[in-house]
Amino acid sequence: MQVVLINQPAEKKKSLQALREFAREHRLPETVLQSADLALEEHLTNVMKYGYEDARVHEILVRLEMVGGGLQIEVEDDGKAFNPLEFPAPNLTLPPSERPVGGMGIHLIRSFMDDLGYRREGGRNVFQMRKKVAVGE
Amino acid sequence: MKSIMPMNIQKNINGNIYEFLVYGRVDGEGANQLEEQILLAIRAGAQIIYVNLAGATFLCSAGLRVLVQYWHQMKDKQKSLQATRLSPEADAVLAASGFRELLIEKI
Repeated sequence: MQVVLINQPAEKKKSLQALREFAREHRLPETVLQSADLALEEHLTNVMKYGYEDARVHEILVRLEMVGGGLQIEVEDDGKAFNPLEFPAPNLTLPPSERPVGGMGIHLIRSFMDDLGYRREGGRNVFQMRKKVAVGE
Repeated sequence: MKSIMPMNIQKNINGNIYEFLVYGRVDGEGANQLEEQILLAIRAGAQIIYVNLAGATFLCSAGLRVLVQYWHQMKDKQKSLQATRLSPEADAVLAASGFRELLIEKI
């Protein structure tokens, strides 16, 4: 399943609807849907907020598929090159009251998804997020 | 599958103690609404703000940022903001972020 969004926050609703439809079709467990929902919200927010240096309309592609029995979400955008995997993890050893709250989106993606991948291809960012579906879940 | 519910906030005010009962989806848009409500409460002189998340079916980093930012702001003024009655979804996000104990801590 593929959905095409433009870089406006309200468009995230389209990807959520697609994700829920996909989850229903493939009978994905609620826990998988919740993790995927959070990861997609966080990544799309980052792309829309930080990915573009102009005010033009840009298309963002969201692809959902089952790969190896798990859910794979692939997001493709034509924003500036950004590899989320290179974004530093927050220092969780600091006391929470001394820790900045910024950068939590990528940390949450890492925490809630099982496997991430990134490539820059033809001037586009392609970010993959995978969530395993346990047998019998 | 749970239904998608846009965020809705109910308010209980008892003197300078405010409780926000948050229902539905605290996404980017919901976080902005929550921030507006917290700011209004602060301007109205709230000493304690409770954000009741029992009905929050979704919490993203934007919502988390609002909670942590105003936790700091309130604490700096010897006031308090606490998250209470976390839904499983909100609890999972707060736990993963490492801010859970901070936000549910009693001051």
